[in-house]
Amino acid sequence: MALRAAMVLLLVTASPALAQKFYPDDPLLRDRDDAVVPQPGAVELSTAYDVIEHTFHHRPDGEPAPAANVNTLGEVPDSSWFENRIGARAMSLDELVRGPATSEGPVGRWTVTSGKSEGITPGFTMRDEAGEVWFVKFDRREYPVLSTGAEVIASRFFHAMGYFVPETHVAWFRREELQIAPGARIAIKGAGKRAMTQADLDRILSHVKREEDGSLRAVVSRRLPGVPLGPHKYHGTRTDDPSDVFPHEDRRELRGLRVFSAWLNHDDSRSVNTLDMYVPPGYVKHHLIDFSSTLGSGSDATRQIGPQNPRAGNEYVIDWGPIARAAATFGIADRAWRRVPYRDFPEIGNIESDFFDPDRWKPEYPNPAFERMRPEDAFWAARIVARFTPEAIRAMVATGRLGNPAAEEYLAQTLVVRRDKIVDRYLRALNPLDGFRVEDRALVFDNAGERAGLARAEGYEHQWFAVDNATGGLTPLGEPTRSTGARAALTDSDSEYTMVRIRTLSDAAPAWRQAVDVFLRNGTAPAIVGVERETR
Amino acid sequence: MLRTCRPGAACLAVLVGRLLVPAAVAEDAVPPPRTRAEAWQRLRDQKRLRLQPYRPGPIEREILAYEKAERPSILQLNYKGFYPRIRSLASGSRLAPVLRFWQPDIKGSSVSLHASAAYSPTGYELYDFQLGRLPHRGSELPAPSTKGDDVYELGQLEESPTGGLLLYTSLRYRHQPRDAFFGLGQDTQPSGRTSFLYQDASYELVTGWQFTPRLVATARLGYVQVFTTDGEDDDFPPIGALYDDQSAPGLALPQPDFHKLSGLLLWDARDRPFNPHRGGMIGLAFTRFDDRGGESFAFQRLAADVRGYVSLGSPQRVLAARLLLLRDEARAGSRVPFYLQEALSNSHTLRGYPTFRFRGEKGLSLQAEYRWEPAPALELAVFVDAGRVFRPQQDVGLDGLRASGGFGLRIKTHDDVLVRFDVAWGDEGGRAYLRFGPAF
Repeated sequence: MALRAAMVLLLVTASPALAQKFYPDDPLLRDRDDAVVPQPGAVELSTAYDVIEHTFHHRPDGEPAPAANVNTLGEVPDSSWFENRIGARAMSLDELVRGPATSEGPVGRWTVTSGKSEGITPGFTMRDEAGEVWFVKFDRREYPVLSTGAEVIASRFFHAMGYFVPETHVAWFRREELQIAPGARIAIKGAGKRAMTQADLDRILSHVKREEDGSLRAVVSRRLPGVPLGPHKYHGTRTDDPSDVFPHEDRRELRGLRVFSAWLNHDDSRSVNTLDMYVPPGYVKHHLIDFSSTLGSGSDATRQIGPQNPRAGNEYVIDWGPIARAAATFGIADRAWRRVPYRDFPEIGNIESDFFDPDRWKPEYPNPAFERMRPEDAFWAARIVARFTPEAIRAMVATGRLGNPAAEEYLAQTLVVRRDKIVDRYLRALNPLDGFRVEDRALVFDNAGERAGLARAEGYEHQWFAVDNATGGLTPLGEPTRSTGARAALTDSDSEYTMVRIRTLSDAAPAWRQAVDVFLRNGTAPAIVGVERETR
Repeated sequence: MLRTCRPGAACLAVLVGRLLVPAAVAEDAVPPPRTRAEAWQRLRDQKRLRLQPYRPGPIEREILAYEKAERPSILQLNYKGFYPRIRSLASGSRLAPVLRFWQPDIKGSSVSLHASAAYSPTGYELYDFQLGRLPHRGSELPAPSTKGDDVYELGQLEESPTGGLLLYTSLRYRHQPRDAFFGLGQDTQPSGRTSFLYQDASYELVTGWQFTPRLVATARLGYVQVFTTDGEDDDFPPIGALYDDQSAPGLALPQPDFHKLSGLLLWDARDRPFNPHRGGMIGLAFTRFDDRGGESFAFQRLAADVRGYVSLGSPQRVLAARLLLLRDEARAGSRVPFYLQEALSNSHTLRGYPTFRFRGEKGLSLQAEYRWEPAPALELAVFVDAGRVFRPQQDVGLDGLRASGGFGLRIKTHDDVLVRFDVAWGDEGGRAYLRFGPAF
């Protein structure tokens, strides 16, 4: 931690005059990290090493620093990592359901170009008649829609949140429609690769349930454009990409991903399920991939795709505290999550909302970015989660084509309740004012907590300050005043920048009394340039 | 500047920064950025000067190679069918390096070939060879040939995943120079410990049928050559110093060869035979030994091994229990040689006593373990073992049981116990075991 702090300070020291509080281009709405750079090398990460490394290393050793890549409004600018979507604008149901898709799925006959016989989800790669390359994965026979449904549903949610994800579809095909491309190869564990045969294809498909009409269900994931560079880590930066300057553990969209992952039970939110692509005209674009272990889908103790292991989301694979407690008490102090009942829907596996606690939720093993999530990071994410209406959630769940209306309704309702818990937890923890704008010589704002029905604000206390932009120093412009409405009249000042400190008065939500500082650049048309939130 | 610099890494950074960026450049030549975008771009410009490719460390590289299936897993490591292993050859042998040769399903047939050679630091040797329809799972190594030999390992017989017929020949030579002998019966003393050498060579035809995945029967027809004499353990007197052919039947030279006929019936309803959490198992064995060309050492043995496993409210808490009964019956005028009598007290029974502490013609062992899993790959256990042996004229009963207790730590996979570390204490002291595989 100390070394990292030193490196960050080294950058700052070598780049003088970052002391200025606001620049003319604040708030920055786009981080221009898409400048052309030389193509970085491909990275391969070991899954097992990732577990070891993150269990024993890269753990925070003190109060994490505030997120490094936010603009002065506390928002995440658009970048090669993230694009503000539902958090910044209304998205239609059609847009949410379509997700990242730019097509209706594979076209015509499928030509298999390579196979994967081992692993949790056997599958293959194929090219359709339009020349597009798709990765094809299957459900296990015993759970014929579980993982493919989860993959498609979750990818749409993460896309709407703002992440870059592959285009996925549920697709059906017939064995006789497949052909193997000349030169197709298959990876055999312990024996490298060899030419792929019809028998290999039959073996892969032998684990897949056939529908009554003889077709097989799969999830197809379109190959991302560009050159694959492998995964990115959740700590440090890519050492060969000059545009990647903010330590990943300090990126707000990666810290806030913890909230989104908790909501959708994406316990597999780790480096190996990310993919960087070198895209035209020549920059690195960062993606999340592989959502088969989300919602109620996961893998069991034998690493077979199936209903999510109840441990997932509740405890790290190596979690010293619970291990020590269980060891010391002869297993009597057992985990409460072991006793959680799950509805018996093979289509959706193990997901529920009663026991779910967004604070206690954990991914498969420690994630450096998740562990450094601060209240304002969680607040940012929770406001995005709050934007998904029950209607939107139901429409997005339907994209999984689960084939069981009762299961779909249960899953949608579970996500609604989990959403509400997230909103309650993180919008109640600090002053949830947002929607700041200047109207009729007054600063007007909304209360996201009130909007979500968490509590009622009895009033607001606000005090104006003049801001010295060179030093950040504040000079009071009068005494604090109170109002019952969500507005604060602008005050006259010669200062180029002024700030109003607002506290929300609510008996039901005492944490809302924490300050929100809103900065304005004055002039003929005062503009809001900064928002800072007090966190205890 | 030093006066304004607080101690610690931050101060170091300031100093290094000043060194790397000459003062004239840092404070005068480079104007401050005019925009936020420019400030961020300067960070990128500076990083552009320090680019380097990602270089994983050697450990990460090796783990990655295994994950990418570029090479076999550590359990499949072999050179042209030769597999290095470490295992215990016999109770008291300690761990020994073993080289196993394995050619499963030769040329697509159902015929497999297995051979192994082992030599322990204490001088124990084992060489064996099996050819035929051996029970095995895919390319995995078959169970060691000794697994079908010792009564207390009845339940660890490998079942054939494909079912059907087992038919193979098995040749084996064992040299055990330091086996312990305390005398026969329950009333022996620790001070009566001696050392004897045991050698045998067996030639067997093994056949079997797996009726269902849970029911298997095997039969063995064999010829066994035995040689025993004073042992080589310098810490204890040789067997001839304290015992003779009366107190240790069969000690007098020459030891006869034996014809051996045995049958085993195993009903196995354990959920995972090598890492059971629920279910049960019953093994029944019958063995007949006839000394070749005589009637001095002809006897038959009956053994019953019953095991049960109950989850206590959670699969992570398991109560395991075991009953083992042994009964040797010599034919009229014959005796049971001491070296073929079963002994209680080893890494599987009466773990708090020295190896082979109790040897007799009848035996009773009762065991209970409470096992709990603080983590998926970790199991802790507390256990109690009780048991005794009986002289031929004694009735089997619960009087006079010797008991020991202890705790264990086991590293497991979903289907197997990889390493078992058990520590146990009885009224004669304590013992620690490091073994590969479950206790029962």
